[in-house]
This record gives sequence, structure tokens and C-alpha cells, in this order.
Amino acid sequence: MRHYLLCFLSLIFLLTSLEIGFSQPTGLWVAQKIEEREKGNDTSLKMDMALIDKKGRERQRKLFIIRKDFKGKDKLLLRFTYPKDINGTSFLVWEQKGRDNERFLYLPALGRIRRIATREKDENFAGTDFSYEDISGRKLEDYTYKLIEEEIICEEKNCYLLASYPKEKDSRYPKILSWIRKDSFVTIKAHYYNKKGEVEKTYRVLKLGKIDGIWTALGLSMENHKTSHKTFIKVKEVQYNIGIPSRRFERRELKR
Amino acid sequence: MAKLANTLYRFRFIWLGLIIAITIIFGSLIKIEMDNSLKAWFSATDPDYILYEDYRDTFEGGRVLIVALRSEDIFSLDVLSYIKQKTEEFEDLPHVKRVHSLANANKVIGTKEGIEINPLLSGLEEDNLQKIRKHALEDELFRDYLVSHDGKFTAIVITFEDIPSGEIDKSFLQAEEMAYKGKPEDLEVFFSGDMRIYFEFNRFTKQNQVIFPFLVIPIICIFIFVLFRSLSKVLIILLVIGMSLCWALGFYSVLGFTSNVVTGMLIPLVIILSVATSIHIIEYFGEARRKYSKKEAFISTMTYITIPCFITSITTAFGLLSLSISNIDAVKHFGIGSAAGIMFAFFISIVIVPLFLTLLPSNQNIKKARAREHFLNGISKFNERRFKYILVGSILGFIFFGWGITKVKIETNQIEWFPKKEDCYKSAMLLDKNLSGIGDLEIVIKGEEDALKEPDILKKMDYLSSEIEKLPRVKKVISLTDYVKMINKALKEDNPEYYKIPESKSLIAQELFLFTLSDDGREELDNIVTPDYSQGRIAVKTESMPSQASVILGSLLEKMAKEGFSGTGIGVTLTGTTYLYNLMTKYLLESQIRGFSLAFLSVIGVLFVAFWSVKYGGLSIIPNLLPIIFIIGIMGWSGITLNTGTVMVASVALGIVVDDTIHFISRFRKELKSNKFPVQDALRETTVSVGKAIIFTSVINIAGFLILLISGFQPTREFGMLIALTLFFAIIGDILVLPSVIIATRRFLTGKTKS
Repeated sequence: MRHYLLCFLSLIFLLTSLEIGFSQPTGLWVAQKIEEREKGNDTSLKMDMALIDKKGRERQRKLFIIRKDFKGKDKLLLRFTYPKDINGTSFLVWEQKGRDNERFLYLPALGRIRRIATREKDENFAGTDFSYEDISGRKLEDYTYKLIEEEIICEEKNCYLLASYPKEKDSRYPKILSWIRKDSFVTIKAHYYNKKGEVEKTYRVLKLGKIDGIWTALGLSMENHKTSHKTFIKVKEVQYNIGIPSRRFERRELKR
Repeated sequence: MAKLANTLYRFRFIWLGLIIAITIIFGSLIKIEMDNSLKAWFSATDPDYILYEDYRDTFEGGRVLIVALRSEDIFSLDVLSYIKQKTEEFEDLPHVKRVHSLANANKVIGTKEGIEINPLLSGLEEDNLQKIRKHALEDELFRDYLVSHDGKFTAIVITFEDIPSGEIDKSFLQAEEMAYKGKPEDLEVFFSGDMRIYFEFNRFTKQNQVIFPFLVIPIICIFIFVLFRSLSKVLIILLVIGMSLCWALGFYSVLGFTSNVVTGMLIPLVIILSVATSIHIIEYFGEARRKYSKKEAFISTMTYITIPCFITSITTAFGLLSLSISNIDAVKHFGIGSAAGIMFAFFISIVIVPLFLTLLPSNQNIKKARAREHFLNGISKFNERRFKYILVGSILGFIFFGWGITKVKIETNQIEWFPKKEDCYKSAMLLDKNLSGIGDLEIVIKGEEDALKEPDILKKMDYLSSEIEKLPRVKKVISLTDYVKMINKALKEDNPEYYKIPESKSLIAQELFLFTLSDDGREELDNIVTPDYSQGRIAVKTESMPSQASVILGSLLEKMAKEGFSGTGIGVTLTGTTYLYNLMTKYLLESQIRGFSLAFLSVIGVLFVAFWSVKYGGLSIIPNLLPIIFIIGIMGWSGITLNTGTVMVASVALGIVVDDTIHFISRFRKELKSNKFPVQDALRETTVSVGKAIIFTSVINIAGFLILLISGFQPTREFGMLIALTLFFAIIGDILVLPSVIIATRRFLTGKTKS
């Protein structure tokens, strides 16, 4: 399964489709259909984020993102524009197969590009409740799947209810339940279960639209029930297949 | 009074029915929750407590359990794997918010190429052990906080949600069991933190509520049996105790009070003190029964005993009730609950005891009584011969122990409330010595949004932290500046020259932003600064120290912080658990002075009214003040500190000891009036007759209070011991000093009486 979030955002690469036909839908089949969804060769978008802590205090962040598919491996550039003091702070991510992605960081106040090595699985996306894994994508083969319901109504839409179980033993969320719209193979809601079997995080698509014929989540939220921290994301100015030059994903571009 | 006694007799079974009905109602209302958290001590409206709760809510929250580990080499594969595994397992425990240990603490390393932010134990393999060791011991944020500088101690810090006090035991035991499971053989495990302390307090509270009654009741039964040689009378008193407890606990529940390590003493106290009235009734009824029929004996007893017993009960209740003006909730609730208990016991005794006595056959033990009378006669003669010596001795005692009062110290350091041999105390001390110390003073700084990204502010904060770290008894200071300096250095290829606050606000903001990209990093920062960078804390970890030293250090920190940030627009407040306990020293002193003054005025006031005589009222002050002065003096001379237990001694003891004086003076005046004896004869008669009851009730009380010595909670032990000692001095006051004063002032006293 490719994670729904990256599907919505159309940020990440397309994997080669596994051309396997199924007479009956199974968990794996649904996961593959999500993988195969059209995401565009490249994407450019802007994102407004609101981070709300347990006391209701809100922090805003704005960023600009471009992505491009490089022969099945994505490259991604994130540049923060707000708040002012982190304006220009940028990340460049080069997806790698079979090892950790390569990531570079540029802090304008430091004026230098630094390679950044962290345990990605532990990392949240830009301080939000979305994990880095949510953004950079999970690999289809890293999970096992079970189709819990073939027909379920969610947000007044016909959906599949899919359970995904990570093969890795010490995963923070040993089970994820996703409600996937049948008409678009877009996940519109998901529950992340922690090791205690409690729903720790809830993901929701608040606004879904078709841009250039590609299903795109334009409003998202993630709520962490343990910390009572919430993140709302508004996606705007989405453009697909605009021919972003490859050089925009070079290291030196971080400084621009 | 005789009319009332008649009415009581006529409707005695209706009264009995009423008492039983009320007992059932109160019994059904008993529902007391246990709470030994800070809420037990501080009122919810206390501004300093509100500030502390706000601080906790902003930064930390929850209840902390520290699992400390000791091994010859913490950095062995065995031990580190254990730490890693347990960190994950503890995270899965119910109510756990966060676990912080070497396993998930982030190490930030700068390299030529870039920066690595990873949990310290992320690459745990045999080959990496030296690297892990080196990093842990060199990192300012780990050393002496998560790991001792010699690498022999480490801590896993578990933060639980604010779980109800009742569930603390379960969570603690689960964590304890989990810690021992799969533990490497040479690894020692210790538990500390507020979870541990609350767990121990809960244990003491249960001990107070369950074990003490089981020990106190048999002792009381034995004494009563020895006194009256009657099993029925023992049963009557047991009934009174049981009913009084039902009423007191039911009433306590209705008020919505919770039970804690101090209020847990309510049960043994009510048991011990509810006996006195019954004993006096039984004694007097026995005397009356020699002359009268059952009905007449009932009426005679009630006519004579009701008022003195009411006065003795109300004075005891006043003594206890004076605790209700304390700022410390536990002391306040204990005072109100036990005062009510005493009055309930009086009411129940007056109705139940004479009624049941009328149902018993008469039973006298004259021989024993004579033996005691012989002893008391001797005392009385001694008083007559040596009253001057007794008075001189008393005056010298007053001076000596009065001087001792000036030496009384206050102690509110929680850990000092545990006996030194207790495991909890030893664990805390090990942590105190080897890691960052168990004292916790917090400087909270508050400014505009993003104020804590300003280089000037951070530099001031950094300077202040370094100055504080130089102070004696301060073991570790942690603040936002440690993180900023660490990231700054890492981004500059780990060059130690850059272990400092950068000059640019943007760089600080971007460095901090980088650190918040991981969940663990964000959690670590949330612990030390608010997300909008308007508020931060400087955590000052200190070694365990006497309250006096702690108060001085607290004031010094506050002064330094205020001076450090003056003119910056940054507000500074001091809080932390140690600060709150420091505050308690003030509350204890106020409780002692105000509480005892109130107890003294109300109790002595009752005596003036009861005796309706300035002379006898004044006279009664002497034997009551003497034991109190002596006992506080003993505290001063022996180093027993004023704490949540001992603060109650003076007020509670005054209420109890005054009872004997009332009985003594009442009887003395009765003898003086009715028989027209000369003073000496009246005194002898009084000493012999009332002395018996005085000694007996005191001995029962002393034995009862001495049971508290088995408690593991130091304030409870000291409370029991000091009250017992006070009662002993009170016997001396009543049967030696009071008669001596009367002899010395006989002309003055009898002149008034005769007139």
C-alpha cells in the first residue's frame, strides 16, 4: 500500500504497477489500486499548516513543495516561507530504494547545506502530527493487508475498510485502519492504533478535489489523541505535470 | 440536669434506636478516596499551588516514576539492551505518557558533511558500545541527568498521566514487576520519583486505617478489662468505638474530604479518644451503683457526668478544630474530622454506655482499687511535703524547655519524612548522590511570543544557568539554552568553540525548528519551552537538603533570576515541588502559631466559663501549658522537627490533657464545698479518686498513641510519640504540679471559695 496521504498530496513517485488481476477484491488488491493511482509526473503546491497544541494555542507554518518522478524514485523539495524566522529553511529529499532516503537541509541563517541523518520513522513532518513516513511514503511490501469490509459508508461515500499491519515488529503503530473511497481509491479517514490497541491518531481528509484530472486532498487533518495535538493542512495552488526542470532538485538549489 | 437524665432514662430505648439508625445512615455514606498527591497538602485555591499546576500543565504534567539502574558497567550490551527493551515496554503500560531514557534520548552529532540526530541507542551493537559510552558521558544533557558521570548509574524516567491517586499503586506495581522481569543479574533496580513517594504514602495511609485499629483496639480492650474486670464493659466500649467511627467517617465522607497519610490518623485517634468518656461514665456508674438502684445510678451518673464529659469533649474538639485554620489541607481536614468524631463519641457514649450498664449485673473490684488508692495517697502526701521542690522543679523545667522551643526546626522535605532505613529513602538518596538530585526548583520565565528565540534573552538565561550551577547544593541546571548550544555546535561540525548561543535570532529559530522535526525532539523541547517560545523553564536540580537551606536557596534563585532578567520585559516566577514544600515551612509555622493560639484561647476560654472563676481558670492554665512547653522544648533540644505530623501535637495534646485538669479541679471544688474539708484533705481525696481515672485514661491513651510508632511515616511516628509523652507530662502536671500550686496558693484560692 502506498500511504493515502502522499496519494492525496500527489507528492511521491509511482511504483511500477504490479499487473496482477484479482477476481475478488482483497486487502492487497486495494492497496495496489491506491499505488497505481495517477499522481502526475511532477507536482507543485503550497501548503498552509496550523499546529494546535493541547491548550488550543495555534502555530502557523507555510511552505512550498515541488516534486518530480525520477525513474520511479521521487525527489522532493520543501521550502518554508512562514513564520518569518524560518523563511527559506529548506529540505531536499532523494528517495532511495532499499536504504534510507538521502536528505539535505539548508538553514539560510547558517548559509550552509548540511546532509541530515535521522531515523525517519521517528520523525514528524515539519513538526506536525503527520509523520515523515506519512509524507515520504510506505512501501507496499512493508505491510500486510486485510480487507475488513468490502462495503462501508464513510462521509456518505462507499468505501473499503482496509487494515494494514507493518511487517516490522517494533513499529509505533502496529495497525492502521483506513477508509478508502471506492470511486477514487483515496483514503478519507484512518485510525492509527498504538501498541496498547488504542486509537492514537486520527487522519481525515477534509476537502477532496480533482485537479487536472487527479484526485487531490485539499484539506487534511491529523489529531494525536495522546498528546491532544492537532494539525490542519490546507493545500493550494496545486499544479501537475508542469515540467519542473530536474536541476530544481539539485543540492545547490536549496540555497535559492 | 436531673430532668434531662430522667427524660433520657425514660426514652432510653428510643434514643438507642435513633443512634442505631444514624449509625446505619452514616455507615452507608462512608466513601473516602485516597489522595496523597500535593493536593493533600495544598488548597486548590492557594495561588502558589495554582501557579505550580499551571507550570506543570505547561511543561511536564503527569506523575513521574524514576527507575534507577546501577551496574558496574551501564554501557554493557546486556544492560543497554535491557534499557532499550524496558523503555519500549514501559511505553506500553497503561496511563504512560512518555518514557525518557538513554534508549530514546536524542544525540545530536555534527559531521563534516552534516548533522545526525538519532536516539543514543539506535545502533546498539557490541562494536558501538565505546562510542555510546563516550557520547553519553560527554553530552551535557545526559551526564548527571540520565547517566552518572562514572557510568555506573542510569535512569529511565516514566511520566504517567495525572492518574487518580487510587490507581497509583497498580501502575507502580506493574512498572516494578516489569522492571524486574528479564533484568541482567548484576543490575540493581531502584524506584524513586513522586509516583514512588505517593505509593509509599498510600501504603502508610492504609497502615493507619487498617493496622493501627487492629493493634489499638486489643490494647484498649486489655486495659479496660484490667480496669473493670468485665467483658461486658469491654463490649460496650467497643460498641461506642465502632459507632463513633461510623459517624466520624460518614461525616468525613459527606464533607468530601479525601484520605491521606495525615488524615489516615483520624481512625486511631477517634478510637483512642472516644474511650475516655465511656471510662468516666463506667467509673462513676460503678460508684453510684454501690449506693443506688440501677435507675437511680443512671440518673445520678447522667446528672453528674454529662457536663464534665461534655466540657472535656468540647475542649478536645476545640483543640482539634483549631487545626482547621491551617493552610495545609491534610491538617485542616484531620482537625475537622477528628473534632466531629470526638463530639459524636461523646453523644454516643452518653446515650449508650449508661443504658447498657443498667442492663448489667453489678461487679466491683475493690481490692485492686485499694492498691491504686494506696499509691495515690502516697503521691498526695509527697505533694504536701515537697510542693516547694515540685514548684521550683517545674519553673526550672519551664525555663529549660522554653529555651528549647527557640531551637525547633521546620522540616518539609518529603524524603525526610521517611525513616532512613526505608527502601524509599535509600533509593532517593542513591539517586540524589549519583544523578541530578531529587530537589526540584523551577524558574519559569515569561515574555512575548518568540521572546525565547532572542539571542540576548538566551544569553542572559545561559549566564544565569551557569551562575546557578556554581551554587552549592545545585547539581544540574537544564534549560533551552543547552539545546540551542548543542545544535549550534553540531551544525558547526561539532567544533566546541560553537557550544554557545548564536548571535542571530533567525539561526536560533532555524536550529530549534530542526530539533522539533522528530517526535522525541519536539517532546523534549515541549518539556522546556512552550511551542510559541513565550515561556520557558530553567530546571534547577538540587541535592536533598534540610528545608531551611532549601528556603534560602529558593530565595537566592528568585533574586538572581529577577536581577538577571531585569529590564528585559521578561517575568520571572519560582515554582517546583521543592519550592512548594519550602512554602509549607511557612504554612507549618503559621499553623503552629495560629492553631495553638486558637486552641489555647478556646480551650482555656471553655475552662474559665466552665469553672466560672478567674482563679480556677487561671489555675488550670499551669498544668496544661507545662506539658505543651515541655514537649515543644523536647522537640527543640532533641532535633525532632516541626512537620505535618508534629505540627498538630500541641493543639491536639492541649485538647486532651485539659480533660484531666477539668476532672481534677471539678472534683477538688466539689470536695472543698460539700465536705468543708481543709484544702489538704480535699486535695488528697481528689488525687486519690480522680487520680485513678486520670492515670488510667492517660495510660490507655499513651499506649494507644505509642502504637503509631510502628508507622513507616516519620511524622506519624513522631506525632504518636510526642502525644504519648505529652500525656505523660500531663499526668505529672495534674497530680504533682497542680496540687502543689493549689497548696502554695491555698489561702488565695480558698479565700475566694469561701467568700
